[in-house]
Amino acid sequence: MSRRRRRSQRGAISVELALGLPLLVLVIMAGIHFGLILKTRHQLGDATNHATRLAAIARNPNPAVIRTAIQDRLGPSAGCTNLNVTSSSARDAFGVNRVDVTARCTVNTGIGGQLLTFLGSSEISVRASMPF
Amino acid sequence: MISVAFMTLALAAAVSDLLTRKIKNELVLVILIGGLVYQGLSLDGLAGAGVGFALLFIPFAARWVGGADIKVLAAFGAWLGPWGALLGGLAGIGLGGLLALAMAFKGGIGREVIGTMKAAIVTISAPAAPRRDRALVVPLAVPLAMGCTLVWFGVLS
Repeated sequence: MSRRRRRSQRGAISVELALGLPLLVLVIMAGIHFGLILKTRHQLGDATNHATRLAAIARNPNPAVIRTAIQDRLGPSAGCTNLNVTSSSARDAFGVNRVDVTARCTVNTGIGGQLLTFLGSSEISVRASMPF
Repeated sequence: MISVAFMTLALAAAVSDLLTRKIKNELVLVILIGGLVYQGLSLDGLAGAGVGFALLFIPFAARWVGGADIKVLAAFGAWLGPWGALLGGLAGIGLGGLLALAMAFKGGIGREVIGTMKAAIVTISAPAAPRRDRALVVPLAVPLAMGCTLVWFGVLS
């Protein structure tokens, strides 16, 4: 049997590498997980800005309507569950009205979700504000 | 009935690795084909095999793990589908770490292993792997088969 063939059917690993492998895999998985959370946060930020602008044009800071607008903009495939929207309108020092929106959601990236929860809560929060 | 087949194959792979530190290509092929057939030759089986393969590809390319380990995980991945293959592989790799720790201390090389791991962390490089007796080499297919079995019976999901 050639050396190459022996290696191809080998099912063994040195003790040091067996100890190092979980760490390596954890770092890679955490990197992917982190990237997906940032991607979702970016999407939520875009959707919240969009919905806040709509609310400002309509002069209607109703959180339920804003939530629907955010959800529409996010689309069904976004990894954002338990979307929670609060909003208020206020008048600033210049006498201009504005609508403030805070959107929170739990990120469900699909990868390592349950395995990596010990790293901390995967809830993201985005704020947006628009004068009208 | 299918669970019995799965258990038999997992046990065969684990025992073969435990006794000889080798798994025959024929056995891997049987596991892979069994998995693909179980998934009804659908994309799920292929995707699972792909995930299992991808999970260990970097350590395999770096010559950390043997060819049989990556092939066995890919073959069991075919049974479990992509999500199950990922979970089973991660669980198996984690269990492999525990097994390595247990073997190191039971085999009396605990101090040596800790020394090399410290050196690896200090120099931020892959740990060097000294040549050892076969009994002190970790049979990775054993924890991999265990991890996949846990996923199979829904302990991990």
